[in-house]
Amino acid sequence: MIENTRSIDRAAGAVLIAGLAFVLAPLAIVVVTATQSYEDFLARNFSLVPGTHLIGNLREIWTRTDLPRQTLNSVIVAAIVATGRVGLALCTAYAVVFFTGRGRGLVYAAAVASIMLPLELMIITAYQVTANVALPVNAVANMGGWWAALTGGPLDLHWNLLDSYAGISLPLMAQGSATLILVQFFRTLPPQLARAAIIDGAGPLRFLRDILLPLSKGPLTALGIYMFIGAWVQYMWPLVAASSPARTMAVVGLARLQEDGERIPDFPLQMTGAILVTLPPLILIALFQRRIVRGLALSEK
Amino acid sequence: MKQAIFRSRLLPWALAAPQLIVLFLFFYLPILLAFFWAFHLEQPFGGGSQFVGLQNFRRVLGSAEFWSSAGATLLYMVLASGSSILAALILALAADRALKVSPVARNVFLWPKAVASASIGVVFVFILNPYLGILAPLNDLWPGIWNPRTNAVHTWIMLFAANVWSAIPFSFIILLAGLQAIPQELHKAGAMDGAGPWRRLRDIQLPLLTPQLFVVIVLEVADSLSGSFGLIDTMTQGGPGGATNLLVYKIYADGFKAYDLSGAATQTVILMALVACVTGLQYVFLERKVKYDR
Repeated sequence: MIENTRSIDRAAGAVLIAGLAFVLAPLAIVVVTATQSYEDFLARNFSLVPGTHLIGNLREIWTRTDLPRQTLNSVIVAAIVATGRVGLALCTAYAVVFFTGRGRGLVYAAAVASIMLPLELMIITAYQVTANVALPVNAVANMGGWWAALTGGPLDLHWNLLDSYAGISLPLMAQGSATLILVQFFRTLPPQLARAAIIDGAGPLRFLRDILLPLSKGPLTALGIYMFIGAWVQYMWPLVAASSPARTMAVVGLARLQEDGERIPDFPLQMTGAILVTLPPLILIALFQRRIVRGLALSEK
Repeated sequence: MKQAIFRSRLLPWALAAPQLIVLFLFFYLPILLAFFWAFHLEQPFGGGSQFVGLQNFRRVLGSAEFWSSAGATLLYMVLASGSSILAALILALAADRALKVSPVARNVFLWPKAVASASIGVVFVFILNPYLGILAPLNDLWPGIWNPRTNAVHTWIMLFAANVWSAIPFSFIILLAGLQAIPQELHKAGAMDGAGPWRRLRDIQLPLLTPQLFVVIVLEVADSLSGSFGLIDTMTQGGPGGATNLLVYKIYADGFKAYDLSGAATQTVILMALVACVTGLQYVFLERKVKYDR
């Protein structure tokens, strides 16, 4: 059937062009500014004429700032968080969907509830826990004073995770959205799969390894990439959990480039840093856009 | 749940245990601790805690700074999530049509997801700098026409612009997926009945998109708050004059700069209650309007 859709198509086209301009313009300005030198910039102020100083700016970022080291930290932390979140979610979702028995709904609810309150809202007490992960052990031991009665003094263990990769990564993993997505995905699989596996004599772990994992490869990699990017762009938690510039992540380092006292900030240098910090996840998104959307079971026809 | 067929007492718990431990330590325990400190006062020089009842709440609720911060938080939650969802909805409706630019747009509109809110904050501060940025020529002509450093309205505009930019992808993905899942037959049936594309947009697409809109609204409210910290810390530091000092930022300053653990924890409890209330209200008032049947 052919109908006249000119007016709506024209409006849609205009909307998309405007949207593209809105999204791309800041990125273009970043790239152009990164090619100018500080002196250029001071002389001409804001200008969309590209300069020739990109290599110089990059060299300065490389030698004079902590960004290279912080970018490495970002790669490591984001990889740990992505693998951790997907791995933890896979195990939980498998237990919730494929096993009989009580408590499954409760476990699922406990994981999904964490989506509603982001880490940023409880930053101060999350910091407290990370500063001493043994806190709950101490609390249980000292409840009612039974530990002191046994040993003569209250239990006071200390296990500080601040300033370590574990301390930055673990709180970023405490979020159940991957569990939600994998449970939804497992429930769409045909129930005959697991039954066939049982008939063939495969145990639950064998079924997980030989059937479920190969089947879930698409969603798992999509989730992993998505979670990698999500961890890379974290700002508030790495800001408080790492105290020294060498330990923190690249986004925090970028924001710290601007705190340079009184003079006019070296915007070209900052924008060069912004490119360095943004490029890795941006390449991932641009390359895997379809796979991410499809893998999160959100359908891209 | 016909898939639940493996029988084992220990194995499922062993599988779920790692995530439950991480969730307990870094999600549930911080919440419990926030409630603990909201009713206790930290003794000076690290000497433990003392139960003080509602004293912390009285102190927090009695300060004018808290109320203006809470008001700014609510305003931000409503306007930031509202503006970004509206923008994403319009873009998704447009990108759902099979135009030449649609595939490019579907890709590019996800790019902001790769840019940290703090990074785009740094970039927008530069672009919208009153003396050096893109609007500087306007300021030369009419001094003071754009100054987000001193004019609170300008600061808010800058904040919302940056927030819309960085919040587009999430809502866009979900809304576009919802639109694409609407069966073609419905479009055809509507067209047969003489409904043009604009009419179908209003009477078929929007009503059938309500489940996704609901999800987006619920999640974007919490998300707008977590993204707000990176924007505020790099763009406004809560200024000018405390106008953009959202609770998320104030808690950070009270806790980490002023070392007021109990005050920060009390405000954390209030903020979590606020978010929970807003989410609950959305379920009560919005979910009834959701049409799940297709």
